[in-house]
Amino acid sequence: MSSSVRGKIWLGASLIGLLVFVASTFPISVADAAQITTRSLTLQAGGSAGGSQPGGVVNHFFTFTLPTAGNVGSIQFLYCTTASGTCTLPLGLVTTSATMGTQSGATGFTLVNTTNGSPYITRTATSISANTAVTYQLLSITNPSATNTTFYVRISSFASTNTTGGTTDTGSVTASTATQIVLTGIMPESLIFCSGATIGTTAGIPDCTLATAGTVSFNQLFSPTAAATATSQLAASTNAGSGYAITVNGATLTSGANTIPALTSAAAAAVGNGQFGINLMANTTASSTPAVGTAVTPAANGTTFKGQPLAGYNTADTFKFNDGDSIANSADGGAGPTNAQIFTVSYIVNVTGSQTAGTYTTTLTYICTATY
Amino acid sequence: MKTIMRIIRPASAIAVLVCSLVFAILSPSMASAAQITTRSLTLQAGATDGGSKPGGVVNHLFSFTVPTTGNVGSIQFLYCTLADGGCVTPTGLVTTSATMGTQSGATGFTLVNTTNGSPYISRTSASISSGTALNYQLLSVTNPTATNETFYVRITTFASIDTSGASTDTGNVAASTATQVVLSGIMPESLVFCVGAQIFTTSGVPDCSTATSGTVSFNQLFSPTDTATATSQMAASTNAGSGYSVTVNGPTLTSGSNTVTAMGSSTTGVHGVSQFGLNLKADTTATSTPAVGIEVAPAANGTNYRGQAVTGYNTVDNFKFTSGDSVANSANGGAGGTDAQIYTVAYIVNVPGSQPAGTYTTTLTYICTPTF
Repeated sequence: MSSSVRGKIWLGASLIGLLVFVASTFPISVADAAQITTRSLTLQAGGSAGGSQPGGVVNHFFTFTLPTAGNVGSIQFLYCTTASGTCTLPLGLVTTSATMGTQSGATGFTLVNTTNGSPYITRTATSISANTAVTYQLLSITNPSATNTTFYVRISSFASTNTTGGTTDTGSVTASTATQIVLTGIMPESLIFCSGATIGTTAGIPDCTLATAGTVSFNQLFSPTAAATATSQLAASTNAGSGYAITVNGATLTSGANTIPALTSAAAAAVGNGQFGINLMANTTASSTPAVGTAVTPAANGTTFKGQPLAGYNTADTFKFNDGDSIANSADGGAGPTNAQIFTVSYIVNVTGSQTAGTYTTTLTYICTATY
Repeated sequence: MKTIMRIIRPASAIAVLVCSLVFAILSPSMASAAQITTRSLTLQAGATDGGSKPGGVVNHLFSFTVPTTGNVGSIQFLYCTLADGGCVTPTGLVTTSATMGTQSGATGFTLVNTTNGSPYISRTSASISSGTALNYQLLSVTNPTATNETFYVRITTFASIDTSGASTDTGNVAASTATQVVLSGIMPESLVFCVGAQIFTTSGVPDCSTATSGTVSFNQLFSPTDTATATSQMAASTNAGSGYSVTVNGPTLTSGSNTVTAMGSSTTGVHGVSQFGLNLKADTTATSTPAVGIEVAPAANGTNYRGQAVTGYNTVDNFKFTSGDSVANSANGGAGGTDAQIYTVAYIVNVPGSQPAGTYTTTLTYICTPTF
C-alpha cells in the first residue's frame, strides 16, 4: 500500500471521527426541542362545510402551550399522514388558500401559505414566557378527501421568522375526517281526524288514540219543559295547503215513524217546541241547565290553529241541523294547515207536549275532507 | 559401554512396565469417575436481569443424575471457558456472591462460594442411590460478560465434604450468554374516529373500516300521531392525555323553507309537537315503537373505556339538538385516553298536524377533538 493511499485512509478515518465527535457534542436541534403540551386541533365548520367533512373547506383551530421561554418568530403546521418519520401530504389537503384567523397568547402573526401542507405563521421574533398558551385559527383549509381518516399536524416553533434554523418546541396533534350523516325523513300529506264521545289529550295534544266509542245518550229524558242535551267530540289536524272541511251527515232523531224536527235554520232553543239541533260552541244556561258545550280547543289563532266552527254552528245558544252541512273548517286566518284541535259538538232536543213516546235515535257521520 | 547398555535397556523396560502397572492401578480418580447423566444448566432470570444476560446477576439451576451409589459430601461446580483441559474462569463471572437456592434429590447442602469460579455445595456425607436425579439452584451468580459466548460448568461429586479426595461422578454442562434484544416502537398521538350509518366490530373491537355511508332515513313517514326514529353510529378512540370531545354540528331537518323544530333543551318526545332531537342512549317504548337506540358499547368503565354521552344527550327518552353541542367525551372516571367504543345516535321526529308535506333533510357533521 502506497503512502498516499494510507494517507487518504487516515484522512477519511479522521473525518469520520470528527463527525462522530461533533454529532455527539452538538446534537441536532430537533433532538433538543421541547414537547409542546396541552395541544389540540379542532376542526371547525367553514362557510358551508362541516368541520370534519372530507374535502370540506373548513377552519383549523390549533390550541397548545409552548414550554420554552424565548424568541418565537415562526410556527409551522406540517400536515402529514403519520405522526413521525417522513411526512406524506394527506391526499386532497389544500392549505395554499388558507388565511389567518384568530390568534391569541402570542400574537402579531401573519400566515405564509405558499407551500401546500406546511403553512407557517410569522412575525418579528419576540420573546414569550415559558408555558405560554396560544391559539391560532387557519381559515379555509381544504380537509383531506378520504373519509374517516386520521391525519396529523406536526407543530414546530422557531426563533427565526421563516422556520429556518433549529426548532424550539415541537408537538403533534391529530384529527380525523368523518362521514357526514345525511339524515332524511318524509312528511307525507297528513290528515288526522277522529270522532267519539270524548277525545283525550296527551301532553296537551289531542290524541285520537284516546277517542271513546260513539254511543252517546242525552243527559235526561226528553221533556216539553226542559231541553235535553248531549255532546260528542271531533279532533282534526292536517298539513293540507287548503285546509280541511268537516260535514255532518245523517237523519234527525227518529223512533219508528216518529221524528223530532231538525232545526234547518240556526235558531235558539225553545222549550216545548220540536227541535233537534247542534252547534260547536260553549253554550249557556239560556239553552239548557246545565249548560252544554265547549269551544274549540286550543282556540284558533289564525296560524298554527286554524280550526273553527262555521256559520250556522258557530253561535252560542243557536243550533242547527242539516244533513250534509259543513260545520267546521281550518280557515281561521285563511284556509290552510292546522295543528290538532278538539271540537265539542253540542246536541239539543226540545219536544212538544205531544211528542210520541219512544226511544229516538240517529247515527251521525262526520266527514273531514282535506284539500292539498 | 555396550555392557552398560545391556544392563540399562532391560532395566528401563522393567521400569516402564512397573510404572504402567502402578499408573493403571493407582490412576487418578477422574479417569475412573462415572459420567453424570441427564445434566443441564438452566440460566434463570435474577431480580432484574434476564437469565442469559451478559454480566447479569442471575440464577443457575443445575439438574443432573448421578450414576453411582455411595456417599456424597460435596458437589463442585467449576466454571470454565472450555469443557476440558486447563480451566480458565470466564471473564466477568462472579460466584463469590452466590447463595444457595432450591435443592432436591439429595438435600441438606450449603454453599461454599469462597473461590470465584468454583463454588461447591457441602453436607455431612450421606449415601445416595444410583440414578438419583438432583437439582441445585445457585442464586445471584454474575454471568460472564462476553455476549453470545458459551461457558462450561464441570460438575463433580465427592464423598468428602470439601471436594478433596477422589471424585465420584463427573459431567459437564454448557450454557451461553446471549445478546439481549432491545425492541423499540413508537406510539404516536392517536385518534381513530369515524361516523356512518353503521359501524361494525372485528373480533369485538370497533372497526372504522366497516363504517357504512352516512345516508340515514327515518323508519317511517313523519306523523302527528307517531314518532319517527333513526340511528347513526360513530366510533372513537384516542391516547390523548386529556381525552376527546365529540360535537354535533348542523341545522335541524329542513324542507325548503319548512323545518322541524330542534329541541333546544333536553326533553321527552311528544306526539303532535314539532320536535327534532337526538341522544346517545338506549331509549324505550315510552318514546317510540319500536324503541330506538343502543347504549355506548363497550360500556364506560372509568379505565380503558371512558367514552360517555354528556349532559343533554345522556338521559334515556330525553332528546336535544343544538348545533355545536358536545354530545360525548372520554371523561368517564376522569378525562383521558380510551379504547374504541361505538356510540349509537338516536334521532326522533315528532310533527304537528300542520307540518307541511315534504322531504326533510339535514346534514350533520360530527367532530372529534382530542387534547394531548
